[in-house]
Amino acid sequence: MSHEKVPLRKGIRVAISIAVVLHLWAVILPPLGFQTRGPLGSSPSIATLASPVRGYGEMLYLNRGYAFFAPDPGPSHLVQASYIDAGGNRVEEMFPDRERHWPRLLYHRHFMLTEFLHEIYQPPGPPGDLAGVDPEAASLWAAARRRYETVRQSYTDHLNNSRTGSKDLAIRRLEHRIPSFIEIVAEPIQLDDPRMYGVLVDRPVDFGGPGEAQVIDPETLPTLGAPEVDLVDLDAGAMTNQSNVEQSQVIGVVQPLPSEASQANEPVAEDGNDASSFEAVSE
Amino acid sequence: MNVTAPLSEIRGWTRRAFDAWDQFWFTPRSSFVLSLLRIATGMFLLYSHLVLATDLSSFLGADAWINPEVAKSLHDGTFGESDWGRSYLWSIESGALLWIHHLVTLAVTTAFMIGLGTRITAPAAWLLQLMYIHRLTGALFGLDQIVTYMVMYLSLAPCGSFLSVDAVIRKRLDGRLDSNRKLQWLFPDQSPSVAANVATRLLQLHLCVIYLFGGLAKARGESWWDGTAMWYAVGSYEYQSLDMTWIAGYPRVFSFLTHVTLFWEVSYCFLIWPKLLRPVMLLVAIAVHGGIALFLGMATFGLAMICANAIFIEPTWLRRLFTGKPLETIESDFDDPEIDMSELADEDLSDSGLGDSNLSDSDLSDSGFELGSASGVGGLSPDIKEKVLERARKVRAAGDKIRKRYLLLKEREKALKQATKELERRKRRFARRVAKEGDKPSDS
Repeated sequence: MSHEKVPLRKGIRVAISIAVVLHLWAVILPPLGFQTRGPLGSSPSIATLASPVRGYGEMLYLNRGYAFFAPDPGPSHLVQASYIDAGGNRVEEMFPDRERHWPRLLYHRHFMLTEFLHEIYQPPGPPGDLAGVDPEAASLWAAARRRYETVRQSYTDHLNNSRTGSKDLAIRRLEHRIPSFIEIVAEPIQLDDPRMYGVLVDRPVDFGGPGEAQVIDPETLPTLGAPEVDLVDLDAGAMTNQSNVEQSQVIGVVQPLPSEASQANEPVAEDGNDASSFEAVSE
Repeated sequence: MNVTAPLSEIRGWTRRAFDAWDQFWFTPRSSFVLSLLRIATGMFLLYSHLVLATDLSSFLGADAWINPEVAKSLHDGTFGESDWGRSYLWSIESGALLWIHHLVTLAVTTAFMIGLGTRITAPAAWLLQLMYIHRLTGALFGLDQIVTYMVMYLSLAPCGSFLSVDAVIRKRLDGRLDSNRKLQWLFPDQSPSVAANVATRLLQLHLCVIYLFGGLAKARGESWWDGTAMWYAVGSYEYQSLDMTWIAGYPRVFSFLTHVTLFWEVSYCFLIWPKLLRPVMLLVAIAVHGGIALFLGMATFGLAMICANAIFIEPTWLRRLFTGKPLETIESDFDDPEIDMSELADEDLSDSGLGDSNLSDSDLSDSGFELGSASGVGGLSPDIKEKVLERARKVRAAGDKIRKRYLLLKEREKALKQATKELERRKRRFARRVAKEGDKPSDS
């Protein structure tokens, strides 16, 4: 191999080489750690390798997994807010909203915020007996739940403060399912068909019996052709605008129509409740 | 048993590996591609900051979606492990201060984009970007990642040497630059540099990591194997910018696109290096990211990724494409003799016996002479001492220029070799065609 003389002194080359190797280490390890994470946590060997450069990677925003549309492109997660405006009308807003959030990058930032709320979601808990069985897991559960509630409260506060005179503001998470191509071919429907939206309930993990864990799926979606109703569980903390409210299940009827997303001003029923959605009854 | 043969083989292999490492990282490279990327990255950064400005308080203000205190708590260990992500924007709650800061950010980003004071504005734009990144936790996506990485690597390189205000200033300052190293650094010339190469290599490898792990993450999903992933991507109402639901009727098409995307992404880090396959990989990159830009509502992200892929294009080729200059004159900017040898023929020094034109750096070093200091010329009068030092500086500057000229010539030689090859290829093709024409029976 022909070797051209490189224009730097050996000492400088060695110094740069060490810096380059360390930097590349910090570039490779975070996504590797992300891929080698399982139900039991991170792979011990990868976690050990990653630890010396963890802080550096976090500081420079290298701690990413690069899992774009992975492992599978899935449903979108949205946030719907409901409040009574200064005129006494119930207003519902959907986030993100293509009509209001323009340019597209602004829309996408809102979309990422709603996805983030879903990503950090942790059901109320931890379950009573988890602390006895695995105190560390119980503590992590509690911390994750606190994080979710704190972020949710921040969203609620932002909406409250930016909507002058609003009251009774509540937010809830929605999931927008993507129909399969077979469904679309069999019955051509719009992607924003109301049947594709479902409310994500916020309720504790339920245990069916001693030693038998039965988890109620919080993401039940209506099937195609099902009536346009669903059980809804509003995020109680957000609804009451308090961060540490004891979780109370509220049940109502919702039609999460996209048409309602953009400031649908609807009259409030005489009894003070919206005639369609966000009608809440405490258990 | 003779152990010297395997040992010498190992030694030879090790030396070749070190040589290859040196060649890969320390071969000077033109910063033309990096200069183009500086413009692109600056545009993306500027656009991102401008869009933020349309709703600044909702994203950065005291009552933002994620208010400053919550943003801080997501990093400082309030909810578990803390990380090293830090931002002074967590402490700015005043709307006026936030706006002043944002205007400064816009100004710095604009300067970086147009290549004004790039040595300063590039790292400044990167630092500011990191501050925004750690403040905007929860509202970020792929665009923020790739743009942050690009500005990070560009800060390491003389990315303002081409197509920049710095280049114009450099031309105007022409005479004054020779004697001022700070100015030379501030307004980098267009000669190939190791810094440009290191920045290029780092971005190339980072892209490879992004695609490899992006592909591996996809490979864990079922839909990327059964071919339906592309349908679910275009079938997402929140992402779509153009209605592509018609593709549901063509499973062969979307499953093919799914498989191509997966295999391309996983194999990118291996197949982008051979020159033969590079154009293919880059064309697929344009198609994939172009698709994301057009159909999945992420025009900025798609375009940013396409721009990032340009890092694999040879500077000479890209320069020819952009400037339209024929290959032969591609480096003609550097033909102007910058080295004024007459400056070195200082008559005063000749008179004093110090005008030896064969004086070299090593001669100076051997004699204990230190450039930039008077320690080695203590016995001379102040006047002569000053002249000697000045002379030494000129010699060093001339040496630097000669070295750079040499590297430029090497680059031109490489380009000429390529052109010669291409010419030969055309000649052969032409000869074959002529021969073929000659073989044809004539009707007339």
